[in-house]
Amino acid sequence: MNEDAQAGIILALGALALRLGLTDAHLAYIRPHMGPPLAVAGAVLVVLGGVVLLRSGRGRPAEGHDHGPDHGAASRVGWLLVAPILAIAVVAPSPLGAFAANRAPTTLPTPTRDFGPLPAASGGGVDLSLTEFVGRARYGQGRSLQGTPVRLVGFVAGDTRGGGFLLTRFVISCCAADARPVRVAIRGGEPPGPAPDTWLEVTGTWHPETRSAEDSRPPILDLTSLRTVPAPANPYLR
Amino acid sequence: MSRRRNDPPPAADCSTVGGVTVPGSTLIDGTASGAPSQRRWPALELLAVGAIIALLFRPVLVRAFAGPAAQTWATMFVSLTVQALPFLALGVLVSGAIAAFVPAGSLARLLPRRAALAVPAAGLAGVLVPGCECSSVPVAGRLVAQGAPAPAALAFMLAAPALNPVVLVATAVAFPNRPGVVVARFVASFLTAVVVGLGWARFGRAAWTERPGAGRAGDVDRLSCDRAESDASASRPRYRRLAVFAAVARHDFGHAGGFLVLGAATAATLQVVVPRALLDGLGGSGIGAVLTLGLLAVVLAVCSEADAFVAASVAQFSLTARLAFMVVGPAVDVKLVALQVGTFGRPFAIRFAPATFIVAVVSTGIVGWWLL
Repeated sequence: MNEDAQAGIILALGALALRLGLTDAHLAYIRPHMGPPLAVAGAVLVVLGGVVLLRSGRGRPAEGHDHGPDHGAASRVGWLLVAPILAIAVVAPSPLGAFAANRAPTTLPTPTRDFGPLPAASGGGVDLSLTEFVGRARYGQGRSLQGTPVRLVGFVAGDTRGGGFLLTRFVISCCAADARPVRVAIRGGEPPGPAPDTWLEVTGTWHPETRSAEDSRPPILDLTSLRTVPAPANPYLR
Repeated sequence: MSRRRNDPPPAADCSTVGGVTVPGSTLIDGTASGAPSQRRWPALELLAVGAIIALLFRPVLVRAFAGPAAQTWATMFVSLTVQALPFLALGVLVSGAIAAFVPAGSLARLLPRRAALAVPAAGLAGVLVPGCECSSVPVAGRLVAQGAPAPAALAFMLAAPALNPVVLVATAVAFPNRPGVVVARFVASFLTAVVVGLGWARFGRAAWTERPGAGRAGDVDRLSCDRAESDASASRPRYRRLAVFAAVARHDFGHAGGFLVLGAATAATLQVVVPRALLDGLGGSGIGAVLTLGLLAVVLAVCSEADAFVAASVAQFSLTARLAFMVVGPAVDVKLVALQVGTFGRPFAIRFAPATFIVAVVSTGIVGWWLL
């Protein structure tokens, strides 16, 4: 691989990273706070690759001569950077969904303490994130949830044939490779249940039961109503 | 290597270096520079053609990745690459700066001469540097290339991602009410870095970390030659240094980036192929659990700032087993091994990775038994 090709690849990858970092597109892969560093890294790569192309475009002598077998081997591996370029620009994979959630092991959310009173209800329910609902159900023994209608947003996963399903969100700390699902089992739906990967806003009440601290099964919500919603800009929770 | 660092005129530099560092490449270098009329391989044009083909075959590619498994693979692959990109860029910038602005030999003078002192000192230096494993590998490679003793550079490479303040705070957040976990992680990772560094000082051979073309001093000089040859302004020292800086950063990015892609693809494949639900059936304590989570850390290649949260979430395992996940992960995983192959060569990686894994698991066992 000669220097112009390497510079071209670095420039292309940098431009894509810059675009990912500046738009909401990076939210499918990494945490929001990593967007600005990604954009900066993209700009650095654009400059690093760009100066070479500018110079050879101005007709300076090309220094693409091969430096010998070892140098050739070192550079050849740089062609692999074409793979992420194609993956980002052409495939543009969507955020993790039901397939990944169904394969993931059951995990416990990070323990939280000191649950205050629920936020004020609006429109017949209290808006809660899935992590907060699961945290209150598990670590607060559901005391704060008793009898109050809540509204949760997530996507559909799990076995939907019986009308019930697992309302799911992924929690990520760094990137999608460390995603852990948070789930609430929805009961009381009519079969057939909604299609997997559909984003829903679900209203219902916590199904009271006493669990041991080690019991990692998802808490249960008795369904009152549901409606489809567009996928949120940031599909992951923290 | 330090014998040629007095900044001789670029042209003389080039011919010497080409001949000295890489036997055999003299001939090729000679023919290439001796034949200025040689036609340049039109790589840019090929890239443009490739881009057009990619656009034409876009539907085919999109359909190939439409299935849920392939889509999940692609998401994991892009995530791992994109997450590592800022850290890799930082790493190659530091690497370029070391090559351009730090005189070779000065690092060796800065560190204590005895490995018994230099290794822990380098490990402690790693504590102060926030960054992930993706930046510490190219930096360590460049440190070795600039004449720093390999054991100290390796200790730095192991300590920097595992022990920096960001990682320790993340660990404290993931394990609330358990400050012992943070202490245990610090002690076990530091122990791993120091033991591996000292072990390398005792048993390692210089030949294992020297690989022509993968970031040795000669390579830097050849890169600087490229710039010096092409840029008239490069004869001025300041511009020459800037040119070296950019050329080394670009070279290291192309090189380490290629191996990073390899590692990310491997980790994404393992994440999709190995059913993580297997973990539900496993669990418990004892040596089996420690080894299971240690191997899982190698396979998943989760970045060191996130691994505490993953470890916290597999509560069916003992605390010592979860400590193994956090101690092994930043030291050895598939993505890192790929980067190390790229930076130090295969003979290095096939010795270093298993040795590091064993040391990390053993020190986890000792520290877990002692502190948790």
